[in-house]
This record gives sequence, C-alpha cells and structure tokens, in this order.
Amino acid sequence: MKGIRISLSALALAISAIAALGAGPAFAAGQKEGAPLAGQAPGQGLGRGGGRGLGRGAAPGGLYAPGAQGAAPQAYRSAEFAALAALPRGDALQAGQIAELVSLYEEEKLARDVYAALGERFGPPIFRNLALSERSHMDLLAALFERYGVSTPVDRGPGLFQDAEKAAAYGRLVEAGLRGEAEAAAVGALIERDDIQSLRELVQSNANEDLLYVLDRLLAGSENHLAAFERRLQR
Amino acid sequence: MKKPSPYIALAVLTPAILFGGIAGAKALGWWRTSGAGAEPARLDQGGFAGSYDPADIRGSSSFASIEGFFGVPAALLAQAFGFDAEAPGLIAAKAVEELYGEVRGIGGEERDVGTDAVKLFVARMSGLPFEPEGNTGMPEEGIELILTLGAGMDQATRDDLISRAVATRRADGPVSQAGPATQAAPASQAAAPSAGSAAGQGSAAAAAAPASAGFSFTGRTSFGELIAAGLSKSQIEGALGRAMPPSATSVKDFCESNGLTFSQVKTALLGLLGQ
Repeated sequence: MKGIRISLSALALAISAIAALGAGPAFAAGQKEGAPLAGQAPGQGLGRGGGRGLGRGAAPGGLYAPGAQGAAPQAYRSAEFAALAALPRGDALQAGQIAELVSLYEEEKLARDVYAALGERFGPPIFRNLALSERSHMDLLAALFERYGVSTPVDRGPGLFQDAEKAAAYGRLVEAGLRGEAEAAAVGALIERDDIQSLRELVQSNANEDLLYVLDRLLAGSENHLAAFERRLQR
Repeated sequence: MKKPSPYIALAVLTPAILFGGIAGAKALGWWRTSGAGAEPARLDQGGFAGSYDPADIRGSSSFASIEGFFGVPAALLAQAFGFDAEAPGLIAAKAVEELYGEVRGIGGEERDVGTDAVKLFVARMSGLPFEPEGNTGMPEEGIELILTLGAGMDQATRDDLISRAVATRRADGPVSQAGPATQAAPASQAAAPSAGSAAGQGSAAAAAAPASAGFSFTGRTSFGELIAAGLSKSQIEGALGRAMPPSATSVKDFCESNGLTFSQVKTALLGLLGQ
C-alpha cells in the first residue's frame, strides 16, 4: 500500500510535467478535481465516438457491467479464468493483503475510467480497447475475491472511487490526457508503469499460487499495454 | 421361418458400416473435414490440452468459424488485417495472403503475411501456444490489437511479435470468401470442457452440429427458424458481422435493409448448418 501511494504521488508530479509540456486549452476549466467529467454520467462511455473497432459492437454502458460488454476479451481469454478456477485456493488472506488487493482493483478501475474518458475524445480505438481490457482485469480480480469470500468493491461509475487519492488522480490524468493524443499516450504509459510497479511489489509480498497467477496475468497485460503506448509515442 | 434376403441385409449393413465407420473415425480423430467451418485439431498436452490448436487454422477457414472455435471476434480479425467488410464472418483466412502476401516489413526484412499470420493473431489474442514461421509478418494494426486486447505474454514473445510488423493495408475490393462449411463451429472456445465459470463467458451455446434435417432456407426464413434448426445466436452474428435482429425478422429482409448480399449470407449460414 505504501508503495502504491508513493507511486501515485510520483504520478501526480509526472502529470504536472506533461501538462507543462502540453499546449492548448485546459479541458473543462473549473472542473472539480476527482469529479466525473461534465456530462459524463455513470454508464456512459464507449457508445459514442467514431472510428473503427470494438466500439461498434459494444453496448452503451456495457463497459461498466462485469464481463458483459460486446466483444469483451473474456470471450477469447476464458483460458485465464479457467486456469484460475483449476488452481487450489491458498491460505486465507490477511486484512492487509485484502486491502492491497482492493487498492489494486481500484487502480485497474482508474485505468479503465481514464481510458474510457480519453476514448471518448480521440479517434484511434486504442483507448476504448484498453478500457475493455482493464475491465477484464477487474473481472479477474473479482473472480479471485470470490474465491476468498472477499466483497468486490462496488463500481459506482466512472471517476468514483473509495480512495479519495485515486479520485483526485482520475481528474488530473483525464485533464492531462485530453490535451492531445501524444499527451494521452503519455498518460497511458504513466498509468501502466504505475500498475507494473504496484503489481511487482505485490508479487514480492504474496505466496498463494492462485493469487500469484492473477498478479502475473495482470502484470503481463500491463506490460503489453505499456508497449502499445510506447509504440505510439515513438511514432 | 423364412430366411432374410441377402440383398436386404446388404442394404442395411452397407450404410451402417459406412456411417458407423466415419463416426468412429471422427471420434478417434482419424477423420478430419476441411472447409470454411472445419473443426481444428485440439492441443493434446500442456496446460491448454483440449483447447483448439491455432496451428490447425486453414486457408479455407472463415473468420466466422475462427470466432466460433477460438472466440476471437470476426470483426476483430477483419480489423487486424485491414478488411472493412460488411460481413467479416464470410472472409476466408486465405484472403489475408491475397491482400498482403510477401511484403517488406517495417524493419526491412521480407515478411509473408497469410494464413500463418491469422494463426499467430489468434494465438496471441487468446494466449494459446503457437510457434509462427520465421518470416511471418503481422500488420501494425494487428499488433496494436494484440497489445491492447490480447492475452499477456513474456518479454521475448512481445519483442518477437513487434519485430514482425508490416504496414497495414486496406482491402478496397472483393476478397476471398469462405465456401460452405462441412461442419458447424461451436459458438465459443469457452464451451470447451476445461473452461471454468468465468465472468463474461458465453453460455454453452456452443452446441456443435445442429440437427437441421428437413430445414429449407427460403426468402421467408426467419432468424428464429435458423435458431430452431440448430444455429446459435453467436454463429448467426458471426456470419452477419453484426447483431442479430428480433427472431421474427426474415433473413432476406434484414439483408436487404442492411446492404448485405442475401445469397452470400445464406451460403454462409447453410454452411454452418452443414448443408
């Protein structure tokens, strides 16, 4: 947890650097930090916007329903869920471990919500696709919670978090990312680097085989996402 | 008691031996069909034993059948390789070879983009094991889709994938479409026996070959009749490349009002029915 908090602080500094580099008007001047973007109600998201890709088939609001959206990765990544189901459940989780996993769930939600907001603005489907992918990460964690009888945090909609720090980070990240496509990709890379750091710390501090499996899958996914953003930034 | 005629016994035994032999050979994996919807072989070892093997995707495989067996949406396959088709499920894997073939990769090497690239895309999206040929290329759009939506992979596999990049082409003319299938595809790999109770998994709509004996596909046939004949909603949507309308809608009316060619859609659906 400590590492995650420090990491978010570093994220805030990096966002400031992006904002300083960026040109153009700030988005939604006067918007309250951490609040949902103007006009963005829970459940809205991928349905609007042009471009090719998965957005076409996704039901409006589906991004925010567990495992229910159109062409969701779960359809072809069911092997991950099946592999988790086949693993033995490990030792009971301690309160500290549960808190760390709940925080991780909210980090995945932060990524999903930021990408969904950026996907509303920008044409390339990368953000909408990544929002779907982050949703599948949340679902995999939810499957883990279910195994241990831990309540999955209630998803109250985009930009709304249990942790006030993440709510504030959401506002800053979206604002920085909406300055332009390059800035959006930089924000995405920041989010993924932060996720990777948190996941590596959790891998070091946990031993249950099923838990490590889920962390490994999330880590591999975040590394893929980071590579996607870095490719965009190199173009 | 009168002894049965040898001709009658022959008439009964011949088809019994013939079809029984085919059924037995299929059960043992000795009989494999080919065509747009042919069932791929299954992996027989490792953690993915029982899953369909991407290496057995063929040039004649339709994107709809790939979606059926591996769960990778036909629309996603079409997008990865630059097809902007109205009915992506009808595209055959070999159309990728026709669109690209041998091209120069982003890194300057000669790359071949064809059916092996389709296998690679499916494998990296789903996380199933597959070793591509050395010179197989992958369109940049396909790489981005894998990185954003696909299964996780280790650094070496990711570096290998990225090194295969070729510029994405756009198909602006007719492309190879899959011929009639000889066997219906299950709706999803998720229905494989090894699949767990994951969130988001489809129902086991996956029922394989429909019992469509006596089914006649006419201009008045509705989507409900196709369901009754044994097709799943996901199979129909794979062939249409879009969501299925209310079941009372006639297929022909739907095609005409959505710019689809009825005869092509009918051929694909009949193929999935094994007709």
